[in-house]
Amino acid sequence: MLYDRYASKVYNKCITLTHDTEVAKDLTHDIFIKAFASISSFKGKSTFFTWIYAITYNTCIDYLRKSNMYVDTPIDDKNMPASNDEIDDGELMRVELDRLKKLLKDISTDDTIILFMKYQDGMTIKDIGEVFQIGESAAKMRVNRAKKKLIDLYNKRYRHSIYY
Amino acid sequence: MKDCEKNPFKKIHIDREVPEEIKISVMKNITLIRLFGEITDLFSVKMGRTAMELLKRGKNNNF
Repeated sequence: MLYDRYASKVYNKCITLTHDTEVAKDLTHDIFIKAFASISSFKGKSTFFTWIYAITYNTCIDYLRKSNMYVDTPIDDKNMPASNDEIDDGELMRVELDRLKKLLKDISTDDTIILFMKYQDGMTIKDIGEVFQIGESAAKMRVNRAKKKLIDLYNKRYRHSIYY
Repeated sequence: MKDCEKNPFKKIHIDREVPEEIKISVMKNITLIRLFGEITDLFSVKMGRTAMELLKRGKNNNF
């Protein structure tokens, strides 16, 4: 059954995003009810995993917005021109765990979610685009921006400390 | 080196067991939604018939 197959992934994702197991319980419940109620809207264009993840992420974002825990992307960043510089994944992989946790709290919620999708859930650019209802090139740009912001913040916060 | 050992994002991943109460609650609500859907279907069929009968009766009575 769908519940047995996806409940663990949905529940744990809710905990990761809300940091609250009680809230995660309620959200998991709501996500499965929403999925059941809107199953007819699943057209099979994406995998079922992507479809249920889209509901999960959107439900969590709604909760974070209502609870004033949603960190919006600064307007300057939204207008930031697309960068062609590919950020090496190796740089991200070298970020220490405790530092990464702190950095993720200080970038926008959308950027955090995009990075989770790409590096925790292993979603493709196409799948990320489908969750955010944007094209592949826009999704690729947003992944790149999120990576850049995290690395920039990391460099600003920790790299200079080596010299002092 | 395993993927999760070099990827700090994988290390953040939380792996807790899903409480059984969520499943019970989801199943209860899905049953209720199904039941509500069936009642709605039955009601609309019944009301549709009733409306048709009223129309027919109206024609025959020539009010």
